[in-house]
Amino acid sequence: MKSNSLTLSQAHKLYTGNSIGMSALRMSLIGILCYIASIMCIFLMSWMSKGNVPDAMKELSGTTLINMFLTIDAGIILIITGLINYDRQYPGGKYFRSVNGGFETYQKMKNAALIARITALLSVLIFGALTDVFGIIRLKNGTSDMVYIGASLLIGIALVNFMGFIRNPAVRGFLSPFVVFAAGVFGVILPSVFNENIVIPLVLAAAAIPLIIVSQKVMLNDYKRRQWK
Amino acid sequence: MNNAVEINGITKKYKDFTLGEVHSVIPCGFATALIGANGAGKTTLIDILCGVTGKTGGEAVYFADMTDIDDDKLRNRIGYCSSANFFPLDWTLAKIADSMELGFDNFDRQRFAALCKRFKLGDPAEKKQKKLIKLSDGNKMRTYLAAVLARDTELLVLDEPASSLDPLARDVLCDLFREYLTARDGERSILFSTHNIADMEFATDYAIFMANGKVIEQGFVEDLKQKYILVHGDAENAEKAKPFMLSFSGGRTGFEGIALAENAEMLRACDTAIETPTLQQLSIGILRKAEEDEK
Repeated sequence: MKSNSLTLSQAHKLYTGNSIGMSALRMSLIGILCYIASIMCIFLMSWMSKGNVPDAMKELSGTTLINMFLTIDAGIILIITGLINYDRQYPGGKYFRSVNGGFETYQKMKNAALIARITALLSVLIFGALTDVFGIIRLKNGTSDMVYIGASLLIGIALVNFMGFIRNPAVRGFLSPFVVFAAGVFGVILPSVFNENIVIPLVLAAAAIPLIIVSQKVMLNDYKRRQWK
Repeated sequence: MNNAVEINGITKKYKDFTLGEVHSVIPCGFATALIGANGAGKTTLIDILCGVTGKTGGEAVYFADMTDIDDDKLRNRIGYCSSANFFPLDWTLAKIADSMELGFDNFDRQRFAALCKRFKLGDPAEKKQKKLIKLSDGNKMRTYLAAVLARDTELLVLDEPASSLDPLARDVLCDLFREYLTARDGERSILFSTHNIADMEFATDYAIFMANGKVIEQGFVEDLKQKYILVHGDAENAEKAKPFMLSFSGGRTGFEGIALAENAEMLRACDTAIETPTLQQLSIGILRKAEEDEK
């Protein structure tokens, strides 16, 4: 297989054994299951304290807590996959440096992983919105919250990319959840601040796209210069 | 074409170690062993030659006229395998085959399956497969070898392929080397690093000795065996023989070491026995000499 003819999905499969679609599906399922599990835990506690299901649901539904869960569980996806670098000293690192295309293939894989991450993030948020629309578990301010959370987490993706500048993997791993959740918290707070104005998160999301592209390029250039060989 | 690779003054500077300048050749059509103590720079040199690590200076010329290791045409002609954790540990035989098929132009899935069968690793097409993490170190190395040998390459570069293999598997590895070279006689070459010199002697045609980041000796094994002699004798003759020897190790009863063949007559006059050294004995002598010179 000629390296310049490798698609993003093939480069992703070369590195991870899975296509972009399969990776996005897996991450979506992880995020959705985490969201369901978080809600189930808090629901069980509420059920035990209230003694019946309708009261427990009433107490839980439409609270900030639900928005927090959606933010955290969608944010986890960004942390898990955004920090994997395939350094030379780790298993597979030398193999990946010897394949056709070398860094070009790595670059394609990272871009493919980014697409998979964004797809998974959107899937989790859409799931959150659907549970709100069907009245199963309401978000605090309705589906507009999903747009706010999505926009803030998109900025979180760019921030995780910039975390690549931190050389120490332990420090990077420790700080990344804080950065992602700090960005995500804005998605929880801002709907009340801006009276659920939908234009604000849309502008934020639009601004996040060039930021993600720039951060991805900067991160890859830095990795090539300092870490690849 | 006489050399598969010509290494012209390659250097690599780390904070606490400098490789080179390395000047050497890997002759075409032969198996070359890279021999040296731990930390001599063998893995660094191999990694540079295979494009896994960047170099600070110098140049390597592959197959007479290729110099850019990042060129896919060159990468496809070189089969490289590192000593440990070459693939991610959660991969199975099937994932390795999938990845290598995408990573190289010349990976043959059927040959990979045949080699896996030969190494008793199982069938890559089977549904239930063990992950690499669950395999022993020896089976992991067998898997790496099956993967790299399943490609149609002209130069095989293996970092410590024998270190985790049992003696029987090392013997099989020697056979594989011979098969690889004879399949296209004179066109294929092998470079491998090893500490298991005795076991790999049968497979070694050319040897490059490294110490402290530099090449200290190199040549065809048969030539080196004519250049150097193995000397041993009784302790009472040790002091007389010592000035003519390159490496010397002695006890209360006797001594042994390596000397240049040109000093054979003088050493015979010292009542010593002279033999042709094995590659193992040659390696110990040459590396000891380098260690003493360093002191």
